[in-house]
Formats: sequence, C-alpha cells, structure tokens
Amino acid sequence: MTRIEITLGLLATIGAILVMGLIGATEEGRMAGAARGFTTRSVERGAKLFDGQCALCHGPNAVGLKCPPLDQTSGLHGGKNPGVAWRLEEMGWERTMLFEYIVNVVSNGRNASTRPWQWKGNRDVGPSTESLMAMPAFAQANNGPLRPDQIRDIANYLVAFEDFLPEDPDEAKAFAAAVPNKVSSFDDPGLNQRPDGSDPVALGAFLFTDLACATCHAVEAASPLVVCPNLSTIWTTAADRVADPAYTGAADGEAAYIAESIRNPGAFVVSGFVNGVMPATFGTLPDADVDALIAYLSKGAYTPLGAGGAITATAGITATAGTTATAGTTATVGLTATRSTTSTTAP
Amino acid sequence: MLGSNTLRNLRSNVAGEWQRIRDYDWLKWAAGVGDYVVRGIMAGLSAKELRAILRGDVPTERPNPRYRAQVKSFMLHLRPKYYQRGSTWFTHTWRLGWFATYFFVVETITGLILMLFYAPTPERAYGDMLYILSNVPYGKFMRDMHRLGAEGMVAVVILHMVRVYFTGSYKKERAFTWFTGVILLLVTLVLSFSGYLLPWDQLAYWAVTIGTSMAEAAPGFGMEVNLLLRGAVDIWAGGLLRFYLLHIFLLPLVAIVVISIHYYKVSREHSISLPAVVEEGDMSPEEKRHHEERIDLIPNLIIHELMLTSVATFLMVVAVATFFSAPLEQHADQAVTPLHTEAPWYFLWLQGMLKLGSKQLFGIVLPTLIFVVLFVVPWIDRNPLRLAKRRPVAIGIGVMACIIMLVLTYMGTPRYGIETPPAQDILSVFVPQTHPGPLRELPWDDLHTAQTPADAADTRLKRTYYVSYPVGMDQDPQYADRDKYVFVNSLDPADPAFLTGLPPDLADEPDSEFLQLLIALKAKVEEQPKLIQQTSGAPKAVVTVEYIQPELKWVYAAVFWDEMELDREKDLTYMIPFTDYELMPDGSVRMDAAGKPVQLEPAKSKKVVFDLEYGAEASDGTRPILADPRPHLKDADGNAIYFEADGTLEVTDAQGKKSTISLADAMPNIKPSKQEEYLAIHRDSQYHH
Repeated sequence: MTRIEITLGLLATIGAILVMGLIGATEEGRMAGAARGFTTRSVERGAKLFDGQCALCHGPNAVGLKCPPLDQTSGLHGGKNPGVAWRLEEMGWERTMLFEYIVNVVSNGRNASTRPWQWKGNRDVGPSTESLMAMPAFAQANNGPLRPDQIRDIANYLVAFEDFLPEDPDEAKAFAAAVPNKVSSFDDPGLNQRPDGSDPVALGAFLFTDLACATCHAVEAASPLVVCPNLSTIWTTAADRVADPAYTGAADGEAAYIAESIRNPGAFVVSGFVNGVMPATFGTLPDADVDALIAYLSKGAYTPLGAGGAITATAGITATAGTTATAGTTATVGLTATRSTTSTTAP
Repeated sequence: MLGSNTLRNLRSNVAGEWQRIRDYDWLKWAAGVGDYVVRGIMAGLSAKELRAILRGDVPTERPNPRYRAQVKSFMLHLRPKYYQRGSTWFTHTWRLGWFATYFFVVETITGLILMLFYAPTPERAYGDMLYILSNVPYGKFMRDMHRLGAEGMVAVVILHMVRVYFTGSYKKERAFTWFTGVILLLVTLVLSFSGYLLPWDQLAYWAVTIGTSMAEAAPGFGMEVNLLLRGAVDIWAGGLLRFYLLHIFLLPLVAIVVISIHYYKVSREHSISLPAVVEEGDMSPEEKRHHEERIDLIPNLIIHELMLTSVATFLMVVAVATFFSAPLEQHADQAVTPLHTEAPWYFLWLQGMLKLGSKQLFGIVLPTLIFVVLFVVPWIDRNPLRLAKRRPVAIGIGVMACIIMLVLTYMGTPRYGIETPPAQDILSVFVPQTHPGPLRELPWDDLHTAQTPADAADTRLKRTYYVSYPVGMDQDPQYADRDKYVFVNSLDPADPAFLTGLPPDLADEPDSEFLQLLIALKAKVEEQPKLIQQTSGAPKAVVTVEYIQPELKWVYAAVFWDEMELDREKDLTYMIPFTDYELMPDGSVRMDAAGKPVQLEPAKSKKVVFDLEYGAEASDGTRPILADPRPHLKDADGNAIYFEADGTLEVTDAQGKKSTISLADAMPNIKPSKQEEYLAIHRDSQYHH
C-alpha cells in the first residue's frame, strides 16, 4: 500500500509540474490574447457608453451633430487624412497622445469651443447659455457621470476609429475622398477673419478663441470651469500677485505679469493648479498679439502704446521672451501657421 | 616558538601533513557534517532515516528516532505520534479535515501572491484584476487556483461537519471540538464571502450589497452593523478596504487561532474517533484489536498525506488548466442593478429562505437560530451511543436538515419564485448581463451585415433581421431588398421556404450559428403566450447588425409586444372607462369655466376581471378556457362584485353619486411593451472559445 501511495504521489507531482510547465509555455500567448481581449472589450463598452453619453451631441457613431465629428474623418485621426489638420497638434499636444488627449477632454470638458463659428456645443441657444461649458466635464471627479475606467473605454473606442485608416498616404487620400458624409471640423467658413488690430480688445477677443485659450480659461465670473484659473478679474488679480511676497516671477506690473503668464506659464503657478497644463507654445507669440490679449483680458483697462507697445518696454518680458523662444520675431509661427496652411491646401 | 629543529624538519613535516590530508576520509567527514546539519534541521532524523521514511521502510536506528523527532520538532510535535487503525479508514473520515487544512494552505500561498498585484481601492481593484489576467505570468493560474481552493474549502468544511454529525463523532469529550468546528465553519463562510467583493465586479458588488443589507434587518443594531461593514451608506472605498482587511488579516488570524485549538484537541486529547462499528459494533475481539492497533504517523500517515497533497494539487492544476476559470464580470456599477443577483452557492439556502417571508425572521432570526442549534448539538443530543441504528432520531433529523438545506438552496436560485417579464427573460438568455452569452460567443464573421450601404447619405452597412413579424410583412415590397431586410420565416432551416427570406450570403450557410440563434429566438418569442402580436402591425422581434468600425459591429436585439395584463390569479382583465366628477351640493356635476364637467383626480378606469376557469389539460399541454368567465369588479376588500346578466353594474363614486357602467364599454387591458438590448461586438474580444 505504501509503495502504491509513493508511486501515485510521485506521478501526481511529476504530472502537476508538467501541466504547470505547459501552462508556462503558452502563458505569453495567453497574456497577449487576454490583453488584446480586454482592450477590445473596452472598445465595445466605449461604443455603448458613447451611444448613451456622447452621441446626443457628437452624433451616432461619432459622425458629428451639433458638436464636431470624432470618427475617422475627423481631425483626431487627421494626420493620416491629407487636407485635415491634426487636432492634437493644433491643441499643442504630441501626436502620439491621442488616447490621453481624449481622456483629458472627456474628463474636464471644454469651456468654450475652439471654433465657435462652427461648433457652439452647449452655447448654441443664445446669451442664456453664455456661462455653460461648451462641453460638460464627464469625470465623476468633476461632478460628471463617468468613472475613470468608463472614460478610458470611450477613449479606446474613439482611438479604434484608426482601424478605418489605410497606412499608405495615397490610399488614405482616396479613402478620405470616398467618405461621403465627411464633415471636417477645420473648414473655416471665413466668418471669423482676424481683425486688423486697430481695436486691440477685438483682436484680443479673436485671439483668445483662436488660440484656444477659452477651452481652459473662463472669462465669465460664473463659469463652472475649474481646470485652469478663471480670468474674469485677472487685471486686478495681477497687481496683487506681483505684490505678493510668494511671487517668484520677473514681472513688475499687471501687463507684464499677464504677458509673462502667456509666454512662460511656468514662471508662476497659482496655488491649486498644476504646472505644465498650459502649453508653452505661446512663447513665440508676436508682441502685438500679446498686447491685444492683455487689452482684452483687462477689459480695456490696458491700452497698448502702439508699435512695440508697453510690453517690449518691460524688462521682465524681454527676459521671458528670450528664455522661451529664439524665433521671437518670426511673424506667425505655431498654431496660426498650422491653420493658415490648412485652409490654403483644403479643397 | 619555532625552534631550529622545526625548521630543519619542515620539509618532511609538510610532506607528512600533506599525506595526512590526502589520506583523510573527506567523504566521511562531509557525510558527517551533512548528517549533523540534517539532524539539526530535521529534529534528529538523519538523512538516511529520512530516506527510509519516504520509502516507507523500518527505522534505521534504535531507539526509534521518529518518536524522538516528534518530541523535539515543533512542526512534528503538533501531530500525534500514532492513530488507531480504525480511525484512519478512508471511508470513515474521507480526510475532510485534512483537505480543509490543505485548502487553507493553498489559499494562503496563492492569496499572498495575488496580493502583490492588487490594491483595494475602487479606482484600482478591477484594473488590477485585468492586469493580473493579462500581464502577470501565471496570474490567471493563481487567481483560478485561489478561487477553486476557496470553493473547495467551503465544500469540504461543510462536508466535514456533516460527516462528524452522522458518525456521531461530536459526543462526550469531543463536544468542545465540535463547538470550535462550528466557529471554523462560520469563519470559512465569511472568509470566502469577504473575498467575493475584492474583484470589484458587478457580481461581487451586488452580492455583497445584498449580503450586508441583510445585516441591516437585524433588530436594534442592524443599521450600525451595516455601517460598520460597509463603511458608508453604500459599499465604496471604505467598504472595499474593510472587506479586504477582513479577508487578508482578521479572518485568517481568527482561523489560525481556532484551527490550532480545534486540532490540538484532536491530536492531544481525544484523537480522531474510531468508527462506531469498532467502538460499539459486534466485532470479534481479534478484529477489534486489529482495528485498535496503533499506526505510526511516521512513515505511514506522512506518506499518505504527501500522496494526498500531490494528487489534490495535480487535480487542481489540471482543473485550472482545462475547464475551471474564476468568473469576472463587468466593473462594479452602482447605477446598473443586475437582473438576478445570485448569492454564492453556499449562501443560496439563505437567499431561498428570504423568499419565504420577512427579512427579520428569515434573514436574521432563523439563520442565527440555525447556528445556535449547530453550536449546541453535542449538548442537545445526550444519547451516548454512536451507531446509526441506535440514534434513529438524530440521524432522521440530520437527513431532514440536509434535505431542507438542499431544497432551500434550490429555492435560492433565480429559477424559483422570481417572475421576470417574459421578454426580459427571453433576451437575457441571448444577451445575459452576467456572462458573455450565446450572442457574444458567436464567431464574429457569422454576424452578417448588409453588403451595400443604404444610400449615399447613410454609408453604414446595416441589416435588419425580422425574427418574428406579422403575416405578409415579408411580401411587402418595402422590405424586398433582402440585403437590408432578412426574414426568419420558419423554425426549420430545412424548410425550402426558409431560404426565400435570406440574402445570398446567408443562404449559402443556412446552418450557421447566427441563424440557429435567430431561430431559437423566434421559437422563444412565438411560444411565449404572454407576448401578443402588436396591434400596430409592427414586428415582434428584431435583430439588427451594423458595421460601425472595420472591426466593430453594433448588434441590437429587441422584442416588442402588446402585453395583455393578467392579474395575479392569471385572470384576464379588461378596463372600463369610468370618471369621477365633482358634484355640487345639489347633486349636479360642477362645470368649469369652459362648461366642461370637473373631473376628480385621478380619473380612473375600473378594472373588470374575468374569472378564467381552465379545463383539463389537453394532450398538447394547453388548458382550454371554460365559457362564462363571470365578469366582475373587485371592491376595496378584494371581494368580487358581479355584473348583472344584462352586462351592467351600478357603482357609486367617491362623492356618493351612483352611475351605471356597462360591459359593452370594456376595452382589453393592453399595454405596448418593449425590451431591447444593444451591444458592440469587436472582432478580437475573445469571447468565442
């Protein structure tokens, strides 16, 4: 009996080791399959969540409705479609960060549309919606309905529209042309021409939208947007900031403070907000544009002194501009350039 | 001090020393050192002796070093030196106590490994499960082993108690051991249940929500207990952390302490009971002596236990490698209540009891009573005899209790006593919430959509399958495009008519799993008597399949029907419009400014019930409705008020005004209803096995 038990025990031990070895041999493939399975199930859930939460504004299957399309024809995947600009590039994000970009926008919402002449979002029904966010914040952390994993599901679903896009650029071009219900979010209907600059406040208002400042910064005191500081009282706040002993920047006045915040956002970060959220690409803005923005944000309290303006005269600002950009004087760079090229190549 | 002689003789001294070193029996020395080390670790057992033990041989030294080891070794001293032969019968103990310990060890090892990759927060827990399953080598293996071990431990502990009861092994000096055993049963159940929540999926979340809500029903302190367990009004971060700490710290600690007490009593005080036939049966003295002989723990029982360990581990590994897979549902969601929340199998009896009546009585009082009785069984049963035939009452009660538990367990399943709307029932077969289900498990390519877009404006490829539809709809020219509109017109794919409803791409494969599924759906919808064809002429069951991405299809399944309301007694009900008007003091009806009678809110209809009397069951299983259903209303007390022979009935409204209602105005009590499920299915979601 003992002999039988010893034999049985040995056989079972060897058997268990063999089976575990077999599991180990196939483990890599199994894990890869499981990972792919979980991602695609996330796409499935994302499709369903999109249908329930997003399709009302962005259209069924993300083809666009009162808000822009987000499918394969949109700028989200635009870089692969000739003639459509990369949305990420326009917003100052790395091209490879589509997933993170979507998670960010869905979580935090958008205060104002970056293209209000085309997509108004929730602000489409007159002055009563002025203080509404164009796109509400969906994260539960922002009092929205969605858990973090659900937002990732939606991002996975939108990223999966890539499956439509051919890798080859020529094929991609043919593909883009063959999609009949294509709605590009980057068609500038000419309704929003850049003002000539004779009225700095008007030019500032244009730039505030055109440079997408409004997506994060609210200029209405009542706005629920909390992602970035509310700028409704920035002119009076700026004076306090500069006077504050905790202030670490180089500015010596309200205008200089605002200019510094635009060109070098990391110079001073308001308590409660995170450094690095605001793109550093504005360091190369021409002086005249910065002047116009200050005029707009100060609600007319600040008047630029004409060519060169007060800005270049401020010591602090010259230093800031110098640190952030060497091409400070090149006429238009960055975002504005992207858009103007797009509109010339667009059919 | 080195003298000159030493120097002079150095050469020969070194040579001599070298010779000595060379001649020395190093092998023996090494064996001696090895033996010393082995003996030091193994409580005096030499390597040779260990080998003999593992081969089942007789001791190599005298006196028997194995007994000495049991005194000196901490691990071995926990075990008795010997058992009586009778108590080691396999069919006496079934090794259930041993298996319980084995599973406890398996759970500890696999649990510790799983803990490395798990954080008990709502933000991370579910993601960590996915991580374990997709990024940790042997992660799925460990999780499945842990789950299988948990199920095994609960089952074994319950069986252990049943065995001890039926062999009468809880009597006399073993009473307290029984008592600690019942504590261990409770600890095992709660240990398993507390682990239930940790994956943070729907199954876990709702099972535990219901479990803790039972505590709420406890009189007096229910609210406090519930709060203590959940850490908040609802289970969230606080509750998860509490269940985690219960699961990995408090309960294992209690288990280890109580197991120690339980086993100490067995090993030092009263040992495992002898079978009753040996103790009380009429055996010859020789036979009896044979069964009372001592069997040494070392080597016989040690080898047996090693064998059991190997075989049990082998079986578990094979089960996990082949068929057993720990379930993981969708992420916990407070907003989505599952259709059926099923307790783990070992608590189904409790769920079954809850269906019998009040939460207080059946959820708290009776279960507590059951455990109180279990605790004191040895003190209730004063009969000192152990043979089954000498304790018929105890055996009878035990058998009854087992049967009642099994029946309650069955009653705990959703099959018993829960009536879901039939359409929901039907759809939940095809698209269940708790597991992938047949629709998700279809091969992806089987889900055929249209081959051509609907029109230039709508380029999506979409096809509608009419599963159950009004007669003639498939002949309607509006639906002639078989690429877009497919009709499942027969329950038999071999029926030649079947193909006429299909487009060419499906007609090639009438046996495809997808078509089989549609046929099954058609059968279910058309066989359900409560689903009446819509009066609007719309179809009853529809499935659409649509491409939304190259690798993503959108499947929508819906059942539409007009529900004929049947009341609790399955009688047919009709509604008769009946309006209460506001009356003036003189008895006339008050008119509003527009000259219309002012209605009392709410305006209601009277429900007319036709008592349906059913005839004997016909051969096809249906029961004909007998004539003269005796239409009546029900008064406030539920008593029937029958209509006159001429079909009228005088009723009094809220203001005391009498009016006559007529059966001629009765309308069937129909409400249009819809049940739908929609889901996206991805090519690579790996539901299909």
